[in-house]
Amino acid sequence: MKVLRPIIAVLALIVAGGVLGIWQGTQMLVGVILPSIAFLVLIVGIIRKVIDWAKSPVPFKIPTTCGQAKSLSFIKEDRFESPNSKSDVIVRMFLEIFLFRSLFRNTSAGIKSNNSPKLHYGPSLWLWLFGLLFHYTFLTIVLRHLRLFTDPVLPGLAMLEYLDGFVQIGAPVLYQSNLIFMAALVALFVRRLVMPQVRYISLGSDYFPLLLIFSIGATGMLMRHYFRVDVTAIKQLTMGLVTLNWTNPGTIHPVFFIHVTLVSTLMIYFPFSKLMHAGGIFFSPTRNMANDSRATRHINPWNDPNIKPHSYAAYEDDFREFMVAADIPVEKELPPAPAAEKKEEVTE
Amino acid sequence: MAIPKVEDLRAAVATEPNMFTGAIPRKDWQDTFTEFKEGNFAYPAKPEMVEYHHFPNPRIWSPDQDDWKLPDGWEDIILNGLRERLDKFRSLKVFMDICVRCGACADKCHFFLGTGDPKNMPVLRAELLRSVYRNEFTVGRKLLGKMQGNRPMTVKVLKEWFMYSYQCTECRRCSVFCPYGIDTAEITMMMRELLHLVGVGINWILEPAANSNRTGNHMGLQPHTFKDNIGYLVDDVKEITGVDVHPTFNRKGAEILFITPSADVFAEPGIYTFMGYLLLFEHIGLDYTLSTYASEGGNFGLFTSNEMMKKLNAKMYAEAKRLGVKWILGGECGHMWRVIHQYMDTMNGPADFMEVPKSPITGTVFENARSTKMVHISEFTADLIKHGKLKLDPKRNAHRVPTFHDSCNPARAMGLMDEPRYILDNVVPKWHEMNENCIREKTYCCGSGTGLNTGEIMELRMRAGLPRANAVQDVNQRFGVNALATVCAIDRATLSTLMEYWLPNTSDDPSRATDVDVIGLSELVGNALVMDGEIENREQGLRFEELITTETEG
Amino acid sequence: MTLPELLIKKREYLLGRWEDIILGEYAKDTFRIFKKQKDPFANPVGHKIRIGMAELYDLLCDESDTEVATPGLEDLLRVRAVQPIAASTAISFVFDLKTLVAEQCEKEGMDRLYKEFLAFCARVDAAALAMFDIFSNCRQTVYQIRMNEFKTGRHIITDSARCSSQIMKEDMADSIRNRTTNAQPNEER
Repeated sequence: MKVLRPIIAVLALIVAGGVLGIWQGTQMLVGVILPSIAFLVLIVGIIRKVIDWAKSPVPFKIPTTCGQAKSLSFIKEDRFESPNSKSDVIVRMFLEIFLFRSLFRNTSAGIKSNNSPKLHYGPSLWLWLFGLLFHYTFLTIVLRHLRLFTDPVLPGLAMLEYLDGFVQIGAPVLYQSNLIFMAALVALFVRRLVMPQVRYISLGSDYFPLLLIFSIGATGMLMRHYFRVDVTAIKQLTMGLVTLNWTNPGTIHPVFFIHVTLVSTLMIYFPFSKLMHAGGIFFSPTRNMANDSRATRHINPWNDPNIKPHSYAAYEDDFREFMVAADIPVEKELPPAPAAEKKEEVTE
Repeated sequence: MAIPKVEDLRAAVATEPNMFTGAIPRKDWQDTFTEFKEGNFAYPAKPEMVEYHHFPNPRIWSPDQDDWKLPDGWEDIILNGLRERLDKFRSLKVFMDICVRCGACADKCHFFLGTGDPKNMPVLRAELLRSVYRNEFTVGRKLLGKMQGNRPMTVKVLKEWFMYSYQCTECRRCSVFCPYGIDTAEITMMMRELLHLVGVGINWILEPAANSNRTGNHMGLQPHTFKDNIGYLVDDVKEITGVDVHPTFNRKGAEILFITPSADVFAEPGIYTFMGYLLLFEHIGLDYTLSTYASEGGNFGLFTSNEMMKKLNAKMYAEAKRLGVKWILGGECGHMWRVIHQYMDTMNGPADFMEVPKSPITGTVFENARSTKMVHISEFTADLIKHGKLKLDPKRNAHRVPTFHDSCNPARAMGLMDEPRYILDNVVPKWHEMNENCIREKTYCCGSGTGLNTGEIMELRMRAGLPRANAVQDVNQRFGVNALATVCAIDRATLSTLMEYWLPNTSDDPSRATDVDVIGLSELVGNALVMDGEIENREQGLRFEELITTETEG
Repeated sequence: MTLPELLIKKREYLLGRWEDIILGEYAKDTFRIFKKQKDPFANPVGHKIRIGMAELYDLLCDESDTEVATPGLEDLLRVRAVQPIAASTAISFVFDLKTLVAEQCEKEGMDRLYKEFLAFCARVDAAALAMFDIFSNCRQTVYQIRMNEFKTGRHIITDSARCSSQIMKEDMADSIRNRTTNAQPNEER
C-alpha cells in the first residue's frame, strides 16, 4: 500500500508537533525556530529550482498547438490556442494558470447505454472542478492568514474575510473557503484511491501532500471552532516571526504547534517535490512559446555548426553516371574517357 | 504464443486481470517485467547500420534474448547522457520535475486505449525515466526515495525504456490534455537518444535514415530511378486525363523547389497524391523543380536524435541554395512538417538566401513562413482556390464520401487544421467530420508513426490504431463515409493497412481491400481539376477507378 | 419457466458476469472495491468486446437465429486476433457461458430442463466453431495486409528500405534492372 507510508509520516509529524507543543521550551523550537527555517528553505529552494530550470536553454520552439494557427487571411485563427504573438501567449498562459484550460479539455471515453452500447467521448470535468476549487480556496486561506503577519492588517483582508464568511453560520463565523477546501481535498484523495488508473499511477509522494495539507486544514479548523485558541497570543508570536523579535507568550494551545509543524513541513517539502508544478508551469515550452517558428527564427545556443549534410558534391560523385544517363543536370561532367565509351554503348 | 495446457485453459480468462482490456494488473508497475516476444518488438538495428551512423556498440543482438550485449559501464553512459540532456533541454528538466500524476493523460493515448497496457499511459511512460532521474539527480532522493518510487538504472529499466519508447508515436495528444503541457514526445525522444548511446535502436529507423543520407531518400531510390518513377506517373496522368505534365529535376533557376516524402513517388496510395501535385502545378503553370538530392521530405532523424535530424534536413536548404530557388514548397507529410515548422529554421537556418514566399499565381505573401521560406501545399492550394485560380469540378469526386483525418504533427505542432478542410469543401460534393473528440488537436494517431510502421509488429500497430479506426467506422456506419482524406505520407501507408484490417471490404467489388480508401488531399484536388486539353468526359479517376458520370445532358 | 425464458429474464445479469470473466475482473482475492472499475470499458477494446458479447448472447438465446457472424461479434474477434493471446484463449470465453447458465439453472431449481440445457450447449459449441472460423479469417487478414503493404510498395515506407522497384510493376522493374545491373549497394550484403 503506497498510501501507508505517507499516512505514517503525517501521523508522526502530528505527534511530534503535539508533544513538542506542550512545554514552553520546546514550543520555541516548533513555533518559532522551525517555521523560520522552513520559510527560508522554501524561498531558497524555490529560487534554486527556478534558476536551475532557467539555466537549461530552450533549444527549439515546440508549442503544442491546440487550435488553428495564423496563416492565410481567410482562415480563422485561434489566437489563444495557437498563439502567434507574445500577448497571445500571455493570454494562453493566463487561461492555463488561472482557469486550468487544459484540464477543462478533459474527456473520458465511455459507453453510453447498456442496451445498445455506443462509444462516446464526453467531457469529464471533475478533476478540473476539484482542482480549481482546491487551488482557489487554498489561495484564499493563505491570504486570510496574512492577518497574522501584518500590523496594521492589510487593507482588503477584512473585505475578503467578510465575503468568505458570507453565509454567516456559527460563531466564530464558518468560512466557506475552509469547507470547500476540505471537501476538494477529500475528493482529490478519494479520486486517487478509487479510480483504478489513477490509483495505479499514484506514488507515495502523491498521497503525502494531500494528507499533509488536509491535516493542516483540519488542525486549523479545530483551532478556530473547537479549541478556540488564544488568537491574540498567536498574533503576538507570528508578528514576532515577521519582525524577527521572537517571543512565545506561553498561553497557546498545543494544537497550534501541530498546525505550525505541519505547515513548516509543507514549506520544506515544497521545493523538492512535485509541488513545484506551481513554478514549473511558467517554464513549460509547449505552453509558453508562440507558434510563429516559421515566421521568426528561434536561436538554439548549442546549435552545432559542424553538422553538415551529406554534400551534394559527394552525392553527385556517387551517382554522376546515372544522372547523366537519365538527363539530370550535373555540376561536373563525366570524365572524358569513360564518357566516350558510354556514348558508344548508347549509340550501338 | 505457446499452446496452453488444458488446465491453464480452464482458467485462462478467469484468473488474471487482462491487460488488453483495460483492467489494471494487481502488481505495482515497478514490479512488473517487460517480456519481449516475437511480434511485440521492432527488429534491432543491423550492425552495419549502427556503424554507418557512427553510433556506438554495433553488434548482432535481439530484444528477446536475455543478454543485450551492452557495453561495459553502460549505466554511466546512460546517466551521463541524461545529465547532458538535462542541461541542453529545459523541456526535459521541467517535465521531469513537475508532473503531479493527475491522470488527465492516462486515457488519451491511443497505445494505452488499444493495448490496455498501463505502462502505455503517458504518465507512466514518462515515469519510467522519471524514476531514474529522481534517483540520481534530485535533492532529498535518499530521504524520499521509497516514497517517490525511485529506481536505480538497471537492465530491467533499460528494457522497459526500449519497449515503451518504441510504443509511443510522439503524437503529442497527451500534451494537449496535460495541465502543464508535458509532452511525452520530448521524453520519448530523449529515451530513444539515450538508448542509442548504448547501441539499442531499431533497424527500421536507422536504415531509412542511412538511405536518406546517402541517396537522398528513405527508399534508397537513386537519382535515375527517382526520375523514372515519376516518369511512370507522368504517363499515367497522360493516360487518364490526356494531359502532358512537365516535371523537371535539379533545374537551376526554377522559382520554387518542391519537396515531398519519397513515398509519394513510389508507394500506393501516395503515388496518386503525387499525380495530384503534377496536375495542380501544370494547371497553374508553376515554375518549379524537383530534386533528386533533396528527394525526401520525411526525416527519420526526428525519431533518432536531434543531430541526425539536423544532418538529414540540412539538404533542403543546401539544395535550395545550389539551385537558386526563391522558396520551397512542401508536400503532404506529418513528421516532415513537424521538423520544418518547429526545427528547421533553428537548426539549418537562417535561410536568408531565399525570398519571403510569394505565390506567383495569386501574389499572396506567406507571412507565416517569412523566415523559414517553406510553404505547406495545403496553404498554397487553399490560397489558389480562394482566389479562384483553379477550375474545379467537385462532382468528379462524387464517388468519394470522405472524412478528414488530422495528422498528429500538422495538427498539434503546426496548427494546420482549417486549410485542408477549406480545400475539401471545394473539391468534393460532401464530406463528414468524425466525432469531435477525435479530430483537430484531439485527433488520434494512425498508430504507426515515428518509425513503428514495420511489418513485424503488425498486430501491435493494429491495436494502437484501433481508436482511429473506431472513429472512422462510426462515420462509415452513420454517413456511408468511404474515403479517409489526409495530409501525411505515413498515414497514407499505415491507415490503408489499418482500414484493410478493421474495415475490410464488404462490397461486391473484389478488387477493393477495404470499405474506406485512404486518399491524399492533393489526389482529390488533382482529380477535381478541369485541365486544359483534357480528354472529353473523362471517365477514370487518378486510380483508374470509374467516375460516377452525373452528366444527364448526354 | 423454460430455459429460453430464463435466458431472457437474466440477460443483464448473465451478460454482466460473462463480461467480468473476459475482462479479467473475476478475481476474488483482491480488494474488490478498488479493483472494480466503474467503467472498465473506457476504451474501444472494451466497447467492441461488450457489443460483440451482447450480440453473441442474443444469438445463442434465439433458437431461430442461425447466422453467427454478426458485425459486433466479428469486431470482437478482430480485436482478439491482434492481441498476443493463443487462439484457444481468444475463443474460450464462449464456453464460460455454459458454466454461468448452469449455475443459474441450479439456482432457479431448473435441474429438470436437462434437454433444454443440452440444446443450449450444442448452440454454444456450434457458435464456438463458427467463431473459430471468423478468428482464423482475421488472422489471415493480418497476413494479407502484410502482403498488401509489400505489393503496394507501402512496405518500403513501412519495412526495410531496400530499393524494391522490381516487385512493383513488371515493366518498371525491367527498365530499372537494365539501368542498374550492379549498382544497388544498399541492397544485398
